[in-house]
Amino acid sequence: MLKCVIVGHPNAGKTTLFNTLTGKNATVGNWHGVTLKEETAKIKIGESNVEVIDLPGFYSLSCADEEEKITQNYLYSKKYDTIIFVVEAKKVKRAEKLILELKKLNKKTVVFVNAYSDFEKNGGKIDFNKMKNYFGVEVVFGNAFDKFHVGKLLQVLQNDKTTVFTNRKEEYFLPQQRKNKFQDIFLNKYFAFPVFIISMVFIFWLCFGKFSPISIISDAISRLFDYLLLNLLKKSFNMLLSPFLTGLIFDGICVGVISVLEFLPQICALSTCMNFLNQSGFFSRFSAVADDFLSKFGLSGRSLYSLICGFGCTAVAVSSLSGIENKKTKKRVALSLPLVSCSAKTPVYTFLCKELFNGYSFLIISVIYFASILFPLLHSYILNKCVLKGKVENYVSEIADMRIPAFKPLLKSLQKTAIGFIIKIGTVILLSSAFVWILKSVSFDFKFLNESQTEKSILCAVGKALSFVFKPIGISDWKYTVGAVVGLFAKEGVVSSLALLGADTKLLSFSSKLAFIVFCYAYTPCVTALAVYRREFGLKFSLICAVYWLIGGFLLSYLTYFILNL
Amino acid sequence: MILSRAKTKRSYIVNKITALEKDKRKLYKLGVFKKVKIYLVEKIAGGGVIVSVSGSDIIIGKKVAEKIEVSQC
Repeated sequence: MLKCVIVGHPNAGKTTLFNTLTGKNATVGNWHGVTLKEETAKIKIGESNVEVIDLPGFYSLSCADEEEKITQNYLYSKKYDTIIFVVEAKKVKRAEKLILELKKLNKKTVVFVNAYSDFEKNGGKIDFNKMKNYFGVEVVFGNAFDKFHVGKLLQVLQNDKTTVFTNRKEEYFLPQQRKNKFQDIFLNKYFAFPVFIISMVFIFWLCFGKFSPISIISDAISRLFDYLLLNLLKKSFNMLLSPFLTGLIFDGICVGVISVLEFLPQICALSTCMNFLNQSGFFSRFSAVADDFLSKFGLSGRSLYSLICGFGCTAVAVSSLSGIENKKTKKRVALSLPLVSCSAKTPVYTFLCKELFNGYSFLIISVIYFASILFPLLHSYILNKCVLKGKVENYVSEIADMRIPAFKPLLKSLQKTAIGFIIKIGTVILLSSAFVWILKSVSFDFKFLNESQTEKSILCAVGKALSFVFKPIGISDWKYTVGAVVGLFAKEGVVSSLALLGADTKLLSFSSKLAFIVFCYAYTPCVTALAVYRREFGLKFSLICAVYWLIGGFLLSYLTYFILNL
Repeated sequence: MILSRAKTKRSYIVNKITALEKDKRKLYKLGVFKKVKIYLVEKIAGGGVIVSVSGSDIIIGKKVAEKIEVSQC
């Protein structure tokens, strides 16, 4: 099978090209260093099967940094047939040396000049015939997300004929005028910080505000599923199935799954909004402005990318740390990442805040998310002073141009988030809900118990044995302990467990509820994240992280309860 | 003059870079090296700068910006 590698500078459009070529949905972002490992897919070009490999961005073959070594090693291995070098039109001059380095690998090389239309609009021009002869390689130009332009690339790849180039070094490049001076305003701290705060508050209102469109849709989904599954279908199946199966399917699995599924619109909206800011280039520019602020906590602007990834998923955020060179800084950020509130915790806050603040829950959730920005920084500051002292890295990096994000990549990203969430519900949440329901419906001598006999169940006995951990925050109900344990597998499991066990959050005092929210915010990350910790830092570090944040979660919740009851 | 003290919205030629080897390497890869023309876009809080070179905007932190000598075009 033929192998084709896609390489280029960071943020040149390699992954976008990969997605258009292969139909896949690899993560894209308007930030340097989004792709951190190779992505592979198979396509058909003509009659041949071709494996396409997307590699992380790099600047030089001869002197690669840590994050560039994956690409450098792969290219030197020569286990491929063709190189597609992706370069933004306005940066072709800077890529000259790299293209010539790649030519020396003696593999068929095609240069794809991306974003040429924007370049032309700003007064730039490339004479492609002269460029082909300058480098002695085929050149295709267009937009990486446009199937027509990518089709031209495929035609060149299919062409087996050897083209003769003159190798004449004639000037082929006319630079563009410096584009979009408006974007420079986002480098001004008096503008950038307020824009960041206002846009985040708006996003939280949009996703969690009582009368926001997303909350209305979320509510409608909940009522629809409640009616369809829990009323209509349950009544129909009641006569056909045994009480055990009816209970397992409807009172266990359906209740658990629906309690999390109703947050699908909010998770998708939050993810899309964050992605919009990411793809617009705002976060990349903001990292430059925030660099000085972050340095006071022992971090650099580079860390902002990992912290922002943490809003989506802690596991992804931990993976993104490979771009940080300093090992102690890396460990500091890694240990602080659990304090960045991932999207899986969002249903937990929303579920617990519902009765607490009656329509203004988005304010509490906003506070939690802003705390998610400040607390990891404070935590990193403390670690920098005590155990993981290290120098702040000098932030030298390319920053992305600002642009209006293209609709297609946003839609693809939304699709990816929705499918990922549904798969998680269909696997982890479904299984955990079934498991919890079975344990709460079965006694130690394996007799089936009905709703009123739950106190005799295995689950109740185990829950009560562990419920002492929440007594200091005024919670003696064993159901919360069970929720916390299930949350170790998937944070949404806290919600599904509390829902199917019928935990009445109205019975909790304000301080107990808030303390439990703080616990859910801070305690041990889920097993998926711990697995990534293990992969990146080793078993010892991942265990330290798990125990550290288990104790940390309890201590923070006790402290919250104590302060609120002063 | 030192880049971190130069005036914004002007073009400069890089005369000398006395930064650490790894920072010099990063700068080189991003297109900032001796005799290249750069445009100082903005100064950011803490003494860092944003420069435009070869079609890209580059952030250079304060400690590195203080090691770059430039002269106005």
